Amino acid sequence: MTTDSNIALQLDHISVSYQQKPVLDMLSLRIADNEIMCLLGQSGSGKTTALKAIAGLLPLLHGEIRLNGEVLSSAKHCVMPEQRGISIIFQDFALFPHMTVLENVCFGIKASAQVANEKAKALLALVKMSDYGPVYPSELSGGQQQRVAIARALATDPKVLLLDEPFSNVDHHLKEQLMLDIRKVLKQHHTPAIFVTHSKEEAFTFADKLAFMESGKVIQEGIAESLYFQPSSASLAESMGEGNWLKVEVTEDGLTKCPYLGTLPTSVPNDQQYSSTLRQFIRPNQLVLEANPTGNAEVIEQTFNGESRYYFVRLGKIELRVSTVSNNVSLPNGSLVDVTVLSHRAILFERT
Amino acid sequence: MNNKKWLILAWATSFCLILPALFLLAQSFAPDTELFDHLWETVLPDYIVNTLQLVSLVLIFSALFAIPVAWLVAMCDFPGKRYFQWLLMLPLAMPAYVVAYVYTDLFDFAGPIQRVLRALFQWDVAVGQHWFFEIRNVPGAAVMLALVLYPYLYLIARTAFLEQGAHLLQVSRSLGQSPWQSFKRVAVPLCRPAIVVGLVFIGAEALGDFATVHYFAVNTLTTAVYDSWLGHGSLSAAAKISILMLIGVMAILAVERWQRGRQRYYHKYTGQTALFHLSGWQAKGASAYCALLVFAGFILPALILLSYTLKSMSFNTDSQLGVVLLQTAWLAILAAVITTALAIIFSFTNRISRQASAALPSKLSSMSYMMPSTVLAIAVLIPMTLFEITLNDLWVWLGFDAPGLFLSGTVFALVFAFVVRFQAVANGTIESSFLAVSPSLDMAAKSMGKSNQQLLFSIHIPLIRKSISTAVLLVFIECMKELPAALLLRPFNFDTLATYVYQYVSDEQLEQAAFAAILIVLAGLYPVIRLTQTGERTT
Repeated sequence: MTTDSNIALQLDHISVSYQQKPVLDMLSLRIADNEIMCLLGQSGSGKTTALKAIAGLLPLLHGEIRLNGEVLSSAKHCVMPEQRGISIIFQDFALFPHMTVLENVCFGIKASAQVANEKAKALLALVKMSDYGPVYPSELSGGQQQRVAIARALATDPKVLLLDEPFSNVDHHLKEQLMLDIRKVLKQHHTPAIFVTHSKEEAFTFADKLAFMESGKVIQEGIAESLYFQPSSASLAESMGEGNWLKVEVTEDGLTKCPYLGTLPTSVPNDQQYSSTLRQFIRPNQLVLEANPTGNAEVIEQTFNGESRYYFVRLGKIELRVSTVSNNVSLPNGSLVDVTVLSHRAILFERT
Repeated sequence: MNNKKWLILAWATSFCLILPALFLLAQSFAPDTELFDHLWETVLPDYIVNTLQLVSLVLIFSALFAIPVAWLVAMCDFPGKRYFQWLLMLPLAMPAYVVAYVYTDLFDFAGPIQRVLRALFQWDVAVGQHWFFEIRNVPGAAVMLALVLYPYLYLIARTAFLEQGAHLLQVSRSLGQSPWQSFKRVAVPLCRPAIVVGLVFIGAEALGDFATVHYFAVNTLTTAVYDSWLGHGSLSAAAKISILMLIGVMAILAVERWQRGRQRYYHKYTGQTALFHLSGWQAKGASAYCALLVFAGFILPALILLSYTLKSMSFNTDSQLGVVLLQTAWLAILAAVITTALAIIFSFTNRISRQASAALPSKLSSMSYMMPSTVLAIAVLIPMTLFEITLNDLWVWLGFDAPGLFLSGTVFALVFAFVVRFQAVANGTIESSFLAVSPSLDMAAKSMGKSNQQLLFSIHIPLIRKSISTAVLLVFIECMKELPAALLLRPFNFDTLATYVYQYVSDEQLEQAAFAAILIVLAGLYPVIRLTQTGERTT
């Protein structure tokens, strides 16, 4: 729970323009101590701009940024980036190419050379890079550079750590382990962090909480499950994974019904008022196929991707995407099937 | 011609072009001459000190001029930045001796500045009553040279700063470093290899300068070379002094190599670059510093040249100028066409040959560019006179009339020197244009049974014709501007545009030749504009 007492960083209605174009529009956000928050959104939604504003690299037009109660940025006042105690890690890692790994980590430590060295070595050990102290950044892989960047950023004991698309330059097969390792390091250091990505997989693995951004605003904020199962906008629903859009009506007993599938076992959230013209978002794994020679749907196409099998099914005038756990028995194209919907909480939006 | 014949052609021409350098080196093993010994015992140590002082001061001033503006233009936003980024290149077009003349005129006892000061403060008219700084000395010459040479460093440092991108500096600041600490600890060290390259170039130019130091009556190794050859007629003493200068260049190059050896792999970072939006006095200061350099290095000298022209036009229109222009033009065209043709031969041979060594003729022939042109002129004379003497002796022995100085006494020497000196310019332009032609075109042509010549004339040359004209034009302009070699090698009573202007400068009468000087400046603007354009494309 985020309560007022344990809030580390607080953004209140901040607005930022870049080259005369408004990028952030009254954005508000709170990050608790020791929390990893992910800013998720399409490119151009203002995620990176938000990070730069927090780091003090861009001025605010409106609003306030506070860290542990102290105002860092407002429309009139801006604490210099070097005085904020906020470290930032960029997509390209921005390791200083003219310094060794150890020199990079020592760079921001304000202490005697010996103390700095000791601390840097401890941090390199933490990110599993102990053997690379005398090596230059150009000799490292993307994942190794990322680890060094984390060690360097933590070396100044930042009050908040900012990460801008930190995993996009890392090999796919190393990503998962790297994310878990870095998450562990951040938790050990009790460092709150904000990280920016457009990948929901990265967000789910790395973050405690997610904030979905669209046109400079946070549309929805919460844990991964709530964004996945209860998205508040159609674009967020689609960002969390593809699905099927069905035109539906709400029945009297709080369910939905649509032309070809009849009444669906999906409960309508009763906290909202809906008109009669609605569309419902159903994910491929919320549908089930069963072979039936007299079924009303037909398999028209399929793809196999290891863990699951995707079917494209025609049902009357609509086409549905269905995913099933893959097994070695597939439904051949052209075969007739029954489509059933699994019981779940309906994701409903007004038809536009 | 098959590949082998092309290779022989390339190697043979390349060998001719490095012949002067080889003979100069051989000269260093020749016994000492009386004149050189005499110079060594009397004035030469002073000249060496002067030269070292001059080169170091030029480097210091150039760095002070170029690095701040390179940083400002690359990293900051301030009024006029868009224009300053190319305006700052203009001084390259201004010959240093013209700038020197103009400022001497301006700050002279009888010049406008001192006249105004005297009138304002009621100074005594007698000379020496009031102190006023002297520019006709080593520091003065260094400032003049730095004013027109700093753009080399500016251009290269600006690119290096831009390539660093914003992230490294932003990270540095997020790690608690102030903007100044970030500049010192991150930006400058990263840019250091580029700065060294720029300084090496400027150092070599300053070392080779003759006109400015001669005009200021500052004696350096270059002036000693002139005195030895033109004054005392001692080619071997001139050669010995040239070798001293060459050692200087080699030392500078060695420093550069050593620096580059330590240079690591540098990533190019991209992204936004204007980090600091300057306002208030900072913005005004930035604009003022840039404006001052452009004004002092280009606008003021250009305006004064214009005013000279307008003044002298009415009473003295020199008919000799037409002759000089014509002579210079055909000389420069000849040299430009030869260098470009050779560059095509080198690049084409390298392209069709499968041997790695085929790149050597081009590389070897480009090396002379780093030789100060004074040294080069002396180097050209050595094999030439040797050949002439041998041939003359042979002719007389065979009972014919001696043909005389048919090489060193004619424009042949000048054209040859130009070709040797500017081969690198043509090589650079032609090589890069050949690289842009896809190798599969060659294979396609060959598979259709075309010979090497057909490939060259019907595929390559039509495709690179723009670069060919650029190469011709660039070399043409360089030849037009080239002064030290022309002064040493021109036949009796023969002037190029540059020697013509310089003659008037050293006679304290530039007013009479101001129009010719303007022509040199205008010609010099073309390569500068090209440089800015390519600079903009890469950024």
